[in-house]
Amino acid sequence: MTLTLRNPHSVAAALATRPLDVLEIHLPPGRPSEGWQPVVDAARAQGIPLRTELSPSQGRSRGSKKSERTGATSALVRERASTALEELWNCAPLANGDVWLALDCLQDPHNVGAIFRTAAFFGIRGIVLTRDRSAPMSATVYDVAAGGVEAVPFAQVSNLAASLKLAKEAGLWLLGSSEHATKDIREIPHDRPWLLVIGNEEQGLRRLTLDLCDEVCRITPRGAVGSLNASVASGVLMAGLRAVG
Amino acid sequence: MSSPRSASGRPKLVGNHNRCWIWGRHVVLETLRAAIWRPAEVLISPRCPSEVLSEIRQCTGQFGIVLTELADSALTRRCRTEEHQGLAAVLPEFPYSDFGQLMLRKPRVERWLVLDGIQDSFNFGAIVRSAVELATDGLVVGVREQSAVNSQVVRSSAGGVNHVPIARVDDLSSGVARLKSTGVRIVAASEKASTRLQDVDLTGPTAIVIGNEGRGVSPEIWALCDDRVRIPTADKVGSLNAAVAAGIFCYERLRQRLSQAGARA
Repeated sequence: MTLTLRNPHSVAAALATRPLDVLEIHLPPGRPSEGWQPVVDAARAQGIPLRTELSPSQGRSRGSKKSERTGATSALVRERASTALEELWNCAPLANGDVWLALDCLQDPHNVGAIFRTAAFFGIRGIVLTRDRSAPMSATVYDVAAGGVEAVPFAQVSNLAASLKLAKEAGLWLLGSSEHATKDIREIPHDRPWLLVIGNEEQGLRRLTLDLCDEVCRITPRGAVGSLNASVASGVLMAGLRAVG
Repeated sequence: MSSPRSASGRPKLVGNHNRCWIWGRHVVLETLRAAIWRPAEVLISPRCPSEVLSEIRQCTGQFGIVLTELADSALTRRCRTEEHQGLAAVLPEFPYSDFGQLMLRKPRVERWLVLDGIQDSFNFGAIVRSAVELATDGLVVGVREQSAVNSQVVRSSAGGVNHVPIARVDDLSSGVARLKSTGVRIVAASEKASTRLQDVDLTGPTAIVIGNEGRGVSPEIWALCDDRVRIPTADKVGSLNAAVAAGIFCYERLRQRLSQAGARA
């Protein structure tokens, strides 16, 4: 399947890691914007087709309602292939301080994209995503991730609990987050490989998932709203596990 | 169909049609209860349960807000979404707090968050939500490249705009200079910095500055900073989203204060 990406950063990352999957770039007439210029140059150097289409409305009467939005640069890119689950932790020996993520039925593609971006920043080793009742890996996810999807391997699974059990058998420790936990994220030791499980925006972690966790931590709750945005909470948790260095 | 509806006869609204409506029982009720941002009009349809209706009647009556009862389909047409749960409101421009008064507030506002041009309403809302949750007691924003408090910000802040004062100043760098002159430590978040987040003391009065999504902190404000701080990481690829960075900074400030309070106790 192909995706239409509109963020130059997500296209630049795809060009850098898997140029054969970048099928073509659509450009408006005129010079590319500042953000797109290096991407267009790189694409041209790799021989990727650049298409400039005159806006269809130019040949029509003004105010034609059917005219599509033109003028935005975009790229047609194949989806990145997901990784087999075991490959997420089998591809290199486990090291203490390594962190993986599992996203349990996240609904909002903005959150999933933002989590990929943050995961790339903190050098997360891999992400397990649920397939059902979850935001699919859409163009929005790629664009919000600003290249993060290319940097972090991911596996999509139907049964999260079974996958988490496999992770435990492979030597990973499971860390959940819950507002009812007593330990703060900063009290979690960095002396083992952790798989951090992020719950859904509304319900948090499911009971079954929580029961599998070796440790549960919280982000010190304070305010009137009751919780952080899921991508911000994930960022605080990743920083807690990875930001010492 | 797509022609904008006239807003004549009403107070100046937040912006275009999409930006001045809030909907859903939780958000509308919370806005009414907080009594900071008074709607120009509240609209209610029979889908809204009667116990909510009585509270709405009380609130709107108390503040003299126009309450319109209409059919469910008519409400859907007016607010252009089916997700209204029988309750929606039209809002005037957000009542920003006065920066000067906020600086004089007692008890003193000590944990500031300065937004130097957050353009994206999702980011702005998520930052407001983090600010409320992570014990920030005052937000300051500028006007240049800054998203207004609009309907999207209300939603992505989960109603948080009602729980933390937000001041808007025309000249953000002179605002930051005023904060600095009263002894507030100015700390910029930047990936170009060399100081690590956990090595900076955030326990006293501080203002954390979060820069624009594209260009970062502006040079005038950069020059005013006491500390320029990065979030450390081992294998960095790319950069952090502004809202995530703001969350990590506010969390670290809260953590330091709590551990200091714990050490004293």
